[in-house]
Amino acid sequence: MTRYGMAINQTRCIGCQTCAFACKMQNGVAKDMRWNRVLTEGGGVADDAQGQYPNLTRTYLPLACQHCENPACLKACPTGATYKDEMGRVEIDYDKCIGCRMCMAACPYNARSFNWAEPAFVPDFVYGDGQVERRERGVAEKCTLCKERTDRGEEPRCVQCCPLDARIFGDLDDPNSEVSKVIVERKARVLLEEQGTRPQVYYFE
Amino acid sequence: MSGARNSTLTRRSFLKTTGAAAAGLACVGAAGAALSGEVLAPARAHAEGEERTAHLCHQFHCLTGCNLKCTIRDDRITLIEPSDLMVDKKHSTICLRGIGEVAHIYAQDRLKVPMKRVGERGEGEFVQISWDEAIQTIADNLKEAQQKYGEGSVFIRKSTEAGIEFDFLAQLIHADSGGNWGLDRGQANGLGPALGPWSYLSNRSHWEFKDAATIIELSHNPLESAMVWSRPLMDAKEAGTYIVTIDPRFTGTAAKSNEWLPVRPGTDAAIIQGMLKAIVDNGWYDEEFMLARTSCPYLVDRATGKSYRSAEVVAPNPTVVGAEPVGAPFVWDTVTNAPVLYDNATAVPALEGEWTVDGMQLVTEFTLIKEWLDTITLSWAAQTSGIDEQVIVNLADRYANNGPAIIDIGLGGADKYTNADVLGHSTALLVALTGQYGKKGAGLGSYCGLGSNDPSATLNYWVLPEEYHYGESPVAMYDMPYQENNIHAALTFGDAFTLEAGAANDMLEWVKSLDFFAIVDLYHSSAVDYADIVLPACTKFECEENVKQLRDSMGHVMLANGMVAPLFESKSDLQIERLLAAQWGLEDLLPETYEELARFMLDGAAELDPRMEGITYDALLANGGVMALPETGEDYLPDGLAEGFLTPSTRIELYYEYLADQGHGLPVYEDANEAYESNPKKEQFPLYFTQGKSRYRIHAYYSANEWFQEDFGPSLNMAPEDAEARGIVTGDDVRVFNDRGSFVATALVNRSLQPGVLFMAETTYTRYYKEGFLQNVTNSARLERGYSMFFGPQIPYNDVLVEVEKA
Repeated sequence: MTRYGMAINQTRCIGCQTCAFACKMQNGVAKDMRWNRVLTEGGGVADDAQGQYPNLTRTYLPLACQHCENPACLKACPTGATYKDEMGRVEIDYDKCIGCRMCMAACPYNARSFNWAEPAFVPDFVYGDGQVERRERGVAEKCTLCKERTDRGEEPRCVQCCPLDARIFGDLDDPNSEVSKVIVERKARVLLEEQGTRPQVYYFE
Repeated sequence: MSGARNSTLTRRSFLKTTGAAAAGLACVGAAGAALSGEVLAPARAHAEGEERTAHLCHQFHCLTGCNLKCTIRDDRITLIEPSDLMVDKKHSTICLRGIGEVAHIYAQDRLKVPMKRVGERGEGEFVQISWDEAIQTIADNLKEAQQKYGEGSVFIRKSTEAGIEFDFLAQLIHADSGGNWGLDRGQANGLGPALGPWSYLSNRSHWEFKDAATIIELSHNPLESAMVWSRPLMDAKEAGTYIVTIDPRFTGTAAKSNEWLPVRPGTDAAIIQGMLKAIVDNGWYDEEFMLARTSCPYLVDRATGKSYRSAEVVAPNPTVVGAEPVGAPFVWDTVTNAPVLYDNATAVPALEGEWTVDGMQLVTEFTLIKEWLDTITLSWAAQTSGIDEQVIVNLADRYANNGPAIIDIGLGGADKYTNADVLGHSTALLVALTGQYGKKGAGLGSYCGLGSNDPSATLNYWVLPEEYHYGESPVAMYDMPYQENNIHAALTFGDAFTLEAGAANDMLEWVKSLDFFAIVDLYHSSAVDYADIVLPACTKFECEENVKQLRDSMGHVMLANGMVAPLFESKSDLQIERLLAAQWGLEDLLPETYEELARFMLDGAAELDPRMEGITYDALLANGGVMALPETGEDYLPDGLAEGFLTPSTRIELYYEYLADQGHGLPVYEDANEAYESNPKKEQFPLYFTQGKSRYRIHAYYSANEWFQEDFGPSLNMAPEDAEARGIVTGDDVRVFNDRGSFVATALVNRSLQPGVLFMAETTYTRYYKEGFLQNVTNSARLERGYSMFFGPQIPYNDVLVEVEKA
């Protein structure tokens, strides 16, 4: 079996937002919407610091769909629009999505966006990978782990573009894959482990 | 527009906010909207249309120059990714600025058509005109000015991101090109006489960072200014290198460092001088290096302050400042007990001492340095810089004794205070006394992509016939509002007037007084509103022909190709220059096309440099526009050594005789012009106002990117203490003001700021501010001794005090 996943090195992540915009471009994500965000932990504003001056720290948290092994969104979806595919990715069949947003309520990572209106695009044309299916009003959308690219044997766009090589993509079911090894060697963790969602996106320092 | 929009989530809050406020930034409605038939519409189909790819070299002002692969569908650039053509895979790079071009190229604030002004200058009222009328009007006005006031009355400058590989018109009509730029060479002014004019750039590769035990990031923030170049620093961090960042702000680079020294703005030199003090007092200096590689043993006449030099033997190089030959220096030979030339092979020079020769009291430079350091104390250094004495001593110990060590300086930051030369000179001393230079893992300079990271190509440059050349530039552009000058008409490619000068109210008043001003630009930049004629240029992704710029970057020669047609009515810089040149009947002196220019640049290059063998125009196109130089690759790590400096004696020369009369033969500390603690002006304007790079911009460029605008606009970062004292919270409109002017920005309360210090990303276009813009408050002071320095006086953009209030 193949179970695609990712490990993100937070020591190397400099919060540059390249992955966030790479994702927006690749997937033709609409105005004011991101599938992938780089959050600053603990702060009130982006690029804030934690601690008392001058003893400060700053940690970035790149956050998108965690492609959980036990996805809360999938269980909440009444139509089967959200599904776990054969490569271990959590995907959405937009034709089946009825816009109930139960998935969004269920996802503990706030990984999903919803098209409340007909999506607006800046620039006003279809940008991004031509293979990516476009979404319309009334459907939920989120990171697909770059389904189109990974099906072609390529890395997700965020992995390809990261200027710091902070993201490692691969097959979690292959103990010899780089991602599997890094997860073991660097004692990578998952977000909100107690939720029991068993994310396939790992973080390490 | 504020950072609040891209709001951060704590682990706890991201649990709490599940549900209603999900990830989509657009998800503003309440949960539970009724389902209707409409929302059950099927998803839209995939994009259709023919696709092709194009490659080009991107930005140069982040000092990276990534090669980008663009996917073009229906003649629109739809996708941009790292190049697949780089031989050296570590150079297959991109950052958000490259990706964001998908939005930026098509931004609504692109200039679309030629325009002429109809309102008052500054009002921004324009009507569309034809290219013919626009070109004719520009030529008529430039000719008229030159007829009335002489050739030198026309100012022409190309600034950021104009087609900088050529600049024809200014030479064709002998225009004034504005002299010194005054940008980011403050430390370089102070380093140059010691280590050579280009020593502000490292002579070794930054991929050596991991070989250093200690790295000092001195006012350098590569993690936000040039993300692509931050990999070597993070590689070093993972390899265990100890990284110290000296910066007033808790920058991205500071956050990844082992130690952050929150220096008071404009006082970095006090830390370096404190380190020097500790190094000399504790004997942590490297005598062998000082004797062999520096001027420490050279003799100086104590009474006159003149160096003691040979009248017959000339030193190998002229001076950096003045370009004049000077005599070879003498040292004191302890064997013969007499002065001998510095390069005498059998002499054993004294490092310290004082002797009488022909009635002169001669001392070594090192003796003078020690005497000068006796006049300063660590407690002074600590009080001035705001950094604890022991922290300074520890850093000195680490730097001198835990090498190899690197000082990586930023271009910007600390350069933007009037006393930046003192910092550069102090740093030169620090390097010279410790020998942290010219060996693996040791070095000095900006490790920024320029300099020695990659081999560079040999290319021909299109030269105009001899009679065509720039006119005199008696006054630097930034001084034009203040010094008498003969400029009556101006043409700028890009926004020179608000980017390359402080105190915008002064500069723009002066611009308003010109008889004529035309601008060629891509976007509706701040200066556009002051122009009489506006010409729309196209981006580097667009051209009238298939190819565009030929550039040399990252050890590869890159020919932009696969261009899309210029959008709207825009034109390429080359065609704009040709249209203008035609008004003087001189267009035939210019290349007709970018292809002709590129062919010219490459033809015969291999005869000049065998490394260029096989890199021809046709070969480049056959290779997608990218070919590597032979040495390019993982192993390219040049051995920049501590010898052969571009100084008179080819060693590091620490005593600046040319400044001795002004009391700066050694880097005697002085306060910045405005930014210092005891400035009485602080009573009225108590806050330091600083600016620097943001990942979302390079200078003002990318301001028009609407993707970036989702995250980022003109925002003022301030410490919680300063905000609270003024009743300001994140998102408030605040007025920033001083005696030079004011503007309104959005407040971001950010713990990363040192109390008392404000920070904004460098200027953006005035149209994005509610009122005024950042340059209204910046400083126009000039360092008088700067006029005798290699790069001239620098614009002290950060040497600024302000007050802030809710708008």
